[in-house]
Amino acid sequence: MKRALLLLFFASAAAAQEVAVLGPDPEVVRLGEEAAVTLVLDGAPEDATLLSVPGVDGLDIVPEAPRRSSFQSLERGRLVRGASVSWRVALVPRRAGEFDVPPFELHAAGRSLRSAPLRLEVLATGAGSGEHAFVEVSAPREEYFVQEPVRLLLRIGVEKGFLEAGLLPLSRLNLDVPVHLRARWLRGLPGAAAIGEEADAAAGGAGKTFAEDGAPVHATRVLEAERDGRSYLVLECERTLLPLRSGDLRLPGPVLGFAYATRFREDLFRGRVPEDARDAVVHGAPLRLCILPLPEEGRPPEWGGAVGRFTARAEADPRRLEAGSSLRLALVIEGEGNLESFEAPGLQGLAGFHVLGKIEEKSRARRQVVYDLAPLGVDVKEAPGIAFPCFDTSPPAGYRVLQTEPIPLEVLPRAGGAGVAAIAGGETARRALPGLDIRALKPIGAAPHERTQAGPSAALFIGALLVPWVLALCVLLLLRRRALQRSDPHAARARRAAAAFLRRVRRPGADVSGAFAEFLAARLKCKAAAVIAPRLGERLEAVGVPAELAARAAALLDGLVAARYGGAEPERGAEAARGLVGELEAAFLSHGSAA
Amino acid sequence: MIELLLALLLGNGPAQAERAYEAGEFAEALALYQAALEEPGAAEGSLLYDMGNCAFRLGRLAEAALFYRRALVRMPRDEDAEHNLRLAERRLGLEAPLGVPLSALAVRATDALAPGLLLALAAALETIGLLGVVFLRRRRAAQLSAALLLLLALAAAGRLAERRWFPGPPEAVVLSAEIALRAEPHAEVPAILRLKAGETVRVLERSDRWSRVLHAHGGGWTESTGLGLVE
Repeated sequence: MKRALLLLFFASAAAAQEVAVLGPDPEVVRLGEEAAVTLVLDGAPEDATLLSVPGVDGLDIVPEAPRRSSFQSLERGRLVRGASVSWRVALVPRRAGEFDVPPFELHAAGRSLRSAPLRLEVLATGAGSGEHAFVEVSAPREEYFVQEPVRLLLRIGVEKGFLEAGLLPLSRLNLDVPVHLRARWLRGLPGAAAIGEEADAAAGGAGKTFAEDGAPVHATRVLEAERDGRSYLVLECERTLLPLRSGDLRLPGPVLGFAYATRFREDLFRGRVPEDARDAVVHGAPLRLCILPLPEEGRPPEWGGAVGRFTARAEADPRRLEAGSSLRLALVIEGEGNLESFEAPGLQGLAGFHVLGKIEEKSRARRQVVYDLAPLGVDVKEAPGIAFPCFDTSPPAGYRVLQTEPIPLEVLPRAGGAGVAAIAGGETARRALPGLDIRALKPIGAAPHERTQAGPSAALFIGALLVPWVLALCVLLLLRRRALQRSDPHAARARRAAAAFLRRVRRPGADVSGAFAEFLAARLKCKAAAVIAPRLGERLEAVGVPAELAARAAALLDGLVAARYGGAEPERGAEAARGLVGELEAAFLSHGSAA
Repeated sequence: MIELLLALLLGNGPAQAERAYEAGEFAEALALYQAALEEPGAAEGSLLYDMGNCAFRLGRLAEAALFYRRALVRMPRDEDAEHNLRLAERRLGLEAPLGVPLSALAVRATDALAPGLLLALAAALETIGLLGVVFLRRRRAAQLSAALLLLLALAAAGRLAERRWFPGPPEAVVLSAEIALRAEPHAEVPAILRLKAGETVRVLERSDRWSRVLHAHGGGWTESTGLGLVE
């Protein structure tokens, strides 16, 4: 719903080119609570500023720092991009009643804009509790420089007797001191940013808890104090603001809310039950600080924005090392100042050293910069002092350069005599020292031998592994068959005889009858002389030759033998014998396979 | 920060990241490399390697080891990543074992090959081995060698099948300075084993809060936030 409202306001702002006002949310509050208004300016022009905040008697109007945002939306199928700048403005009432808030004035894109007026209704809460509690905010000084942290001290006091006898627990929160501090501006307001919030909140450790803007927090210190003859339990905590621009910095007064009762009854199940529970608020005084600009005069060119009161020292470890190995030179900056926001010295081009890089640790009270340095040769005798320019706020304020002491080093030659001359001074961390440091970055765009494919498919995998087995099986079968054939001497003799017959009949004047007789002898497993006999046809039939073919073979052999011994040679005897041998071989083979 | 925004807008992350790295702004370079990694078609292996270098320079050595291991998944034969990983682990106090088992060496060798190449090699070795077994029946020594080749081929094929279809529990690197392994997924249960940053474990089960892991010295439950998955 809220998003839809925001979009609606964005759309309306875009259409009218005016300031959209979201809120107040809620429109009716109780004294001690706060409402919020959001001013939205579409387009987010660079020069958008909140020029003036209207003043309303009895109502604190506290704007927060502007927020810039961009958004995308689909309009008729097209992606439309937009941007906006918005301010959240807290409305903190100091009395009950109705408040008319005049328009806010803004400046954007070279012209002035005004928002629509607002109305806020504030309901009264319980009265007469102001003497039981107080809240106040204070700063050590009234004048600060831009970028100099302002340490604010928040003090919440609750009368001890009132705390024990009259104060009621806040709903949903289990607090040691059930009071609710409302001071959202402590998280930043125009011209100042909150820093070290986590550190501030954690600094309290085991201190008593109270509520700050809806969340439980620990007090840094818990004291007891006397004020106007009353004894108070005082909770203290610190918050830090970093001024971002010069001029007046107005901090609204904090508001402390709580619930209390004056009459109680004992209940069998619920224990002590209040009979006249009521809400109450206590307002603290606002605070005005003067923020001074930083002078241009005397500003060192290498100044990194450090403002405060600092000390600087350097530490090196190890102090005895081999050439090429690295040492850690730590610059430790401590003191009061913007330790978390300035730019630390870079040490670029440090003579005699290869600067591998730097690591920074930031905290509220200490900034440590650790430089990873490798001396380039054995002639390096010390780690030089580090210059740290800063703006010192202690009187008389001005720019100063803190210098750390040089640290003596002992650089030993590398084992094996290898030098580090290849690493020239002033080079960057892209090049690494061989063996002792990590290797350099990969060249941009290079994707050397990166594995991109997921792997072979299951079919390819199985196929690739099965093919060799099939191949081997085929080879094995072939070899077995050949071996079997070789193991039968008669079959071998028959094959040799057929080959010999074909060779002999090709020669002119060959003894065809002898060759044919030898072929038949090999098949009949007898001597050649024993082939020429009266019952050759029957013998051939007995070894599987068909009767007709056997008769023709017998007749051919008779004819060839007769021709040899002077009888009539059969017409084209050699060719007929060759053809017949082919038929006989086929017959023998088919018989053999059938057998 | 401005560089990061510009890189995100202009899509020139790696070049910006390299400049940030060279300027010693390793945290920014790491963020820029991370953004570049999310671009489609990014050279993941190289970017993860570079992120490892950034983490190393920032002193986040366990994180660096994790990035190098992730890079090695994508670039199994990359000597730079292996070197930097060894260096990071050495600085974490994880001494490499003096002797590496033969089986581990074999697995490392096969994992260094691309899947297609490994399959082709397995098929070739299998063919040679089978034909050797078939043809060299009368030469015992040669046939034994052929049989060994065949076994090697089958082992390679088995490793490939394991990598492809049965990858096993994912590997993770301990990112916290120390994690405790417990018998039950409860913080009150006493620790049975403590692991240092940079050590690797196999993650058997994982939820948002707890992970059941297996280490060379034992297994147990540990909080998921202390682990970084390699894959």
